[in-house]
Amino acid sequence: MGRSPAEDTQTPGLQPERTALAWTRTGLSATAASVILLRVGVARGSLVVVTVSLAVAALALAGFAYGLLGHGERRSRFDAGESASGLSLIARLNVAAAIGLCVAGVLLVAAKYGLG
Amino acid sequence: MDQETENGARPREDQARPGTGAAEPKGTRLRRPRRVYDTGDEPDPRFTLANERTLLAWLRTAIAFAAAGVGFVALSELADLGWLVDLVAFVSFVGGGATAALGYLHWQRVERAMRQRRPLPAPVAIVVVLAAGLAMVLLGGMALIGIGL
Repeated sequence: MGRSPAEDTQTPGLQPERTALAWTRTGLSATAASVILLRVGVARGSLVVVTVSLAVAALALAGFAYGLLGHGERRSRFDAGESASGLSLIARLNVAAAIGLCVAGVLLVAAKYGLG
Repeated sequence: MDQETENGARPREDQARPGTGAAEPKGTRLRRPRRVYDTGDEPDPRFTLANERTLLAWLRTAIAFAAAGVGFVALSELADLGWLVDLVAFVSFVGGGATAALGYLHWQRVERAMRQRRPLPAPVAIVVVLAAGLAMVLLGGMALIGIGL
């Protein structure tokens, strides 16, 4: 790598920190969305929507925790000039959670018209 | 740049792994998704972190669509609004789901392109965001005029 040790310890652009904050933002907004969905699911008595929204809330909170708790490792990897060790399982599960949130919403709308 | 990389099989140092998501066996570093890491060599770590944040930004966009959809569903419960509000909610959910899925595919393609030192691909998901957003504005306008209520 063409970076000097001095550069390595300066975490240029505070990249790991911004990544941690991006995770917390995403986790918190997904949590908020899933809680509102949970409220609607309970009101409609839809077991599927309630289950999905609880699962999404759990994954979103896991993402929030991963952002904060993973910061140390991200930081030390970054300072060693190493890339991340792949896209974490939590990240891929959070993609699934966002899709699940939308699928549950489609089910909510469909149920009103007697579909699904 | 970095030429010591063999595909995904670097011995990894045993340091404490804080946090979650450590689904890798010890000793060998199996990096997932595999179809991203079976090619090229390591990009600047700054760029991989930036790509991860970009994925998260797409996810937040998807979550915002979902939240808007839930909002419309809740709105249609306050008063007996017509089918148009439900259609807006539906478009919002479909747009959100597509945004999340395409955002992930975009992350994969960007990561591969960076590993192969190729120019970055264009984000396909932006078309979905624009189309869904435009549809919601149009349908919302129709609802304001009184169609479908």
